[in-house]
Amino acid sequence: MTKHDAIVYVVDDDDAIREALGGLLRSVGLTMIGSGSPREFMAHDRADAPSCLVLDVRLPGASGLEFQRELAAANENIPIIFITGHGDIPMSVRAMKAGAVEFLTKPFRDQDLLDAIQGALATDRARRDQERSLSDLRTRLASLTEREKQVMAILVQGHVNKQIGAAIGTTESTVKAHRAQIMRKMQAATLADLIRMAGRLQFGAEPVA
Amino acid sequence: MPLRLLNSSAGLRNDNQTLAAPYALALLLVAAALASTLLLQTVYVGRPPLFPFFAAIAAAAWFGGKGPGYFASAVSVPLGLYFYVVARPDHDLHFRDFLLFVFFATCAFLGGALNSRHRKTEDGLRSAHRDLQAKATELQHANDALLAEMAERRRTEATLEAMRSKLGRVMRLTTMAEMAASIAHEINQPLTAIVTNGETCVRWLNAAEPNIAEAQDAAKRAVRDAERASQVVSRIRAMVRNALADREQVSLQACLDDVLALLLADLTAHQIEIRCEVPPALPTLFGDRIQLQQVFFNLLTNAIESLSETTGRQRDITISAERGRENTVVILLRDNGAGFQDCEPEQLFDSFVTTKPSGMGMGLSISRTIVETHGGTLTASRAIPHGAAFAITLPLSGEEP
Repeated sequence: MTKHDAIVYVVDDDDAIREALGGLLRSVGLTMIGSGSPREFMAHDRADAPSCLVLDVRLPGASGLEFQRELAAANENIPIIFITGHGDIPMSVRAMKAGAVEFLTKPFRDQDLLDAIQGALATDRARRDQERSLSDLRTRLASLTEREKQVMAILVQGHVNKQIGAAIGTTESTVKAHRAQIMRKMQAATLADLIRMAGRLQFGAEPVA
Repeated sequence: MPLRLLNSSAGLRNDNQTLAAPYALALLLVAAALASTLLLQTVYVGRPPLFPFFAAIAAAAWFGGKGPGYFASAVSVPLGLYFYVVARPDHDLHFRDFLLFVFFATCAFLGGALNSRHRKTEDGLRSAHRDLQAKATELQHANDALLAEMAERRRTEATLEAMRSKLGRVMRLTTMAEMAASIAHEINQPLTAIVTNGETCVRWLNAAEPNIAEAQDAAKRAVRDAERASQVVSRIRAMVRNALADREQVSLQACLDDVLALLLADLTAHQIEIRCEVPPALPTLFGDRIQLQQVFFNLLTNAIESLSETTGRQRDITISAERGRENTVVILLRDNGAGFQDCEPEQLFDSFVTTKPSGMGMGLSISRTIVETHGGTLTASRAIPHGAAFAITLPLSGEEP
């Protein structure tokens, strides 16, 4: 595991808890960034790495649950693990329903916390991979000319070159040339690949001019 | 007495009748006087005495007042003239007859005037007396109302006082719950850090290549956090010891009365007979009334709970107080319930030790802390033949109740 492979954020107002968690995470090779309050956490620049948030329920100012809602409202997808000294069932149900990964009661077993963190990081990593590949595809799509996009839209609907040529008013050989360019730029090995990419991009869902 | 009525407001309803009636009576009286004089004349030789007229005038003035009095006089005077001057048997008129007549007339008017005057004074006195009586009755009513108001006020004050002490207890319990939650949090934080640091230390030692420096750091952090936890514990101890707020002169009797009033329903429901004997001239205690009540409340609640399970004998609780050594009072609370067979008396006061199926085991521990902060002692013993006995020794403040 390299250094910035993953980052665990901890928000707890108790210095001793943050230090202890920092020590524990270091022992398993994870990097921790601790904050004493949600505001301090928000002030940090977030590293571009898979991450998760270990959040104390009882915090100065807003409660951890409120902060969870704020993050969701701000479209922050970071997985949250709650830790609390006085967790009751209704509170944990609310937290889990709002998307928390885990709800641990202090004092917790180190292995339980580490398992929850690994699970959360795996989730975040998968989400990030997904997002990254989608944004790659968007870049590739953007490199197509308007004509090529027009051809691709009809192509992924399962039409042959001849039909495409007729549809856009050009010869079959021109369509063939466009098609070769599309396959190269989109880095699609087969037509099936291209159709799948179009599906992920939701391309061709609406008629192309 | 019809004419007295005429003077009163009830008679004013019919003005003509009211005014005419005394004059008619005056006339009637004079007529009666005339009749009796004529009657006297038949048996009397010479001039008959005219005193019936005086009586008639006096009566008319008395019953009818000034007007009817003068009216009777006016009617009597010509009759006097007749008897003294006109109807002389010998027709031999003398100067002395005129003199007698003048004398008669003067007396007649004087009699009417004096009598009506007398009557008026009498009436004034009577009405003054009546007024006085009315005033006295009024005062009596006011006094009664005042007394009732005072009793009501005393009752309200007692209710208020009861509510205040109940509120104090509820507040104290709420504070206690809040304090317990806060203590739990304050202990739990360092505890979490200690556990995590300990586990981290073990991880560093168990690694393929143990990292002694990191393990030492983690162990040091654990020690530091444990010290913090122990500081929290001492702070709480100090807090309980220094909770000396609200100290005042407390009457033991009043204190017990308040608690017993709160527990009366429970005592009755479980058919428990309670005897409470406190010497009347006992000086007051100096302390926190609510806290002392809390102690009695805890001990009595324990006794009631124990007695509610007791069958086959009359359930009794006895509270007695007597002067101890060096200006102290020793209060004994005894029940004849199940007592405590399975543990030593001293163990009862340890926190989280309980003989009850459901209970925290905090009541006696808290009670002893309260008594000790008041400079007293609380001990337990087995009662003979059944039950538990608790002895509370508290210093007296020396002030008579």
